Amino acid sequence: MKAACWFGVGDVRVEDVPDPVLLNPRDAIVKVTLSAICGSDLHLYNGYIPTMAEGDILGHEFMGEVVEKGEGVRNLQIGDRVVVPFTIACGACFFCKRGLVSLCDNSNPNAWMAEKLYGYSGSGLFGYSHMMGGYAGGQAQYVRVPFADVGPVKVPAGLTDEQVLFLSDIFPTGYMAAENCGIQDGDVIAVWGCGPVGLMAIRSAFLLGASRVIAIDEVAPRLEAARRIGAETIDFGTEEPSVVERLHQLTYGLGPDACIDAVGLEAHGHSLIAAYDRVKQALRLTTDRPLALRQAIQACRKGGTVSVPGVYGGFIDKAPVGAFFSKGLTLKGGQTHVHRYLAPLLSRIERGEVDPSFVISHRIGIDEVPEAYATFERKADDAIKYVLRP
Amino acid sequence: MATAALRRNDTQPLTNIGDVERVGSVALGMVFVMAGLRRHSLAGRTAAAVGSALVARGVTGRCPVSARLARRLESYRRPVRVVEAMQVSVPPAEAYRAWRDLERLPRFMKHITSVTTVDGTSHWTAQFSGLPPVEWDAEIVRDVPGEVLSWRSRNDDQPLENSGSVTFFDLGPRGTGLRVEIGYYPPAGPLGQAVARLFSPVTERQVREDVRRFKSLLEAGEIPTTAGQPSGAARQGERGR
Ligand SMILES: NC(=O)c1ccc[n+]([C@@H]2O[C@H](COP(=O)([O-])OP(=O)(O)OC[C@H]3O[C@@H](n4cnc5c(N)ncnc54)[C@H](O)[C@@H]3O)[C@@H](O)[C@H]2O)c1
Ligand SMILES: [Zn+2]
Ligand SMILES: [Zn+2]
Repeated sequence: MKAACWFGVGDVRVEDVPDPVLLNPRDAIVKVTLSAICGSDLHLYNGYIPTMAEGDILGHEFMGEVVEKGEGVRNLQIGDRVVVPFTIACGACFFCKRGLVSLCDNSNPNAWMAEKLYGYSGSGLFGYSHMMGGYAGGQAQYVRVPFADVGPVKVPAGLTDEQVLFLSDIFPTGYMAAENCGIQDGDVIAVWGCGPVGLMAIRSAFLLGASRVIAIDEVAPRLEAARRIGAETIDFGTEEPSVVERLHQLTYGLGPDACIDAVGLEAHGHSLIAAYDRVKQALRLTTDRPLALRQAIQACRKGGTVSVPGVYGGFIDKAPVGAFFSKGLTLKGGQTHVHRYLAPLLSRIERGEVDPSFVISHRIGIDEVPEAYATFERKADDAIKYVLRP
Repeated sequence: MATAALRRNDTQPLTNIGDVERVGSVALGMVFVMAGLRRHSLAGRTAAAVGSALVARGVTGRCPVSARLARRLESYRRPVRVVEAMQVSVPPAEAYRAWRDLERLPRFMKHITSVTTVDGTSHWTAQFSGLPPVEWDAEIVRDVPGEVLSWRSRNDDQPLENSGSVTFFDLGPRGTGLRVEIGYYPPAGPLGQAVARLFSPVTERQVREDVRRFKSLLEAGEIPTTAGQPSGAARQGERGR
């Protein structure tokens, strides 16, 4: 089969590789009908997530048709159309039983690697480094799906692939980010980053009762996309004064009730502190550039919540922990517990409350994937979200 | 010291291990290097690194570990002790039954290739990468169903003198708290001791991985793996483990 493989920083190639086979009783093989490239993949592309190896198959947002299944998978039939969560979870451990599937104890065969870095390991993920399991991913024609009896969700015939694909990651991710804000009617939510995750967070914040959402980015078509779904916007690239000051003004001095960092470890900026982050990261003195996270902590109103769907991998510098403490903030983050959002969000899509396909900007075939990474990385060609039919 | 040790001055010997041991160190080091290089995994790389340290130690005749250990360890043998603790979401009775099923332990104990039981005694075969298989007999010392199981190798002329215990704590709705203790006596002499100490972090990880596989089998019914999946690398298959 054909698969998009990682070969190094800025080096993604489409290779002919063997088809996947069943390895465990609870596995299924899915023939991919639609897949996507995620902002998280850019962290791999740019080399910020350790333990990638040459030839690793990328991709964690995909759906398709069940073509083979192990004896442990009784709830699915050959031919079923399913969306697959990017988090791999056993459904039976302490964490899975509490719905914390991205913290599953039994799905990462390389848990010891993550334990070295983080003390404990999260769940395995598709196509996201060896420390997260080393599982071959979904930017490919076929994928082996472990624990297929608890992950994949069947899709009703009336919905298109594009409407449901993002149940695999970014819709639940944006939704969980908003849910973590504990939104009460009338709340004002600030969202850093108007990429697909930020856009889903904006949409979800409104669904959960926010009265206003203020979105921050510097890429014009993304700010425009945010405005189209009802957000007010701040362009941090051109507008004066600072983002924190603007948020202060826009909320009449109260500050946003909750702040969502949908940017993660590769934040951009034009200030002195941004340059400082860049230099330190380039010199490998620090791993992550927490510009958005710092601003979120600084801007948040007293007693508010900072919700972090943006990915961080290592250590951050100059974290305003004094502000966090003095203002009595709540900090929440993590990989999304995708499984627990599948049923409720699928029914929101079925009821017509949301159509997540609004983020799609490009539709490509698998051979165009390497070029798509390069364009997406530069945020060129008005790129917001690439989907691919392999 | 048995060697005509080179001396930088009268008080500082440049070598602190004997000739026989130096040869042994080089030989053993080579075994680890070769075994390590054959495996494209972290364990393999670790073995190779330890191996090259042993070779260097033999060639130079200086061992930073021996220098410290020799004083403390030459006179007596201490077991290497590894303790692992893990929560398992099944009741203690079930966890106990699974561990008591000795012949099926190789399902999750990576280096144990077989266990056979004949009235009260069990015969174990283990295979560590790149080394010849090791065999020994063991007997159960304590057996309280649902609570504790402990064992030791039968007599001390066995190649791998060892003992161990598993305690099953009742955590109520959280299932079982497992506490696994493994002790083994490394081969006698400072070299054996040094190797054992060098390897004890590796041993700790092996024990943890065994216990983790046990947990996965009980909770998920299978052990997670990627061995055999496709990759775009020229060398097919999974690195890692
Ligand atoms: N928690 C999870 O489970 C999960 C799931 C999916 C994605 N993510 C993470 O979410 C983040 C966003 O993903 P995406 O697909 O939207 O990525 P993306 O790269 O398309 O979007 C990131 C956006 O942030 C903007 N940005 C950069 N610096 C900024 C700053 N200082 N202030 C405001 N905006 C800034 C960029 O211009 C860009 O539009 C990534 O870190 C990704 O890894 C997390
Ligand atoms: Zn994603
Ligand atoms: Zn689990």
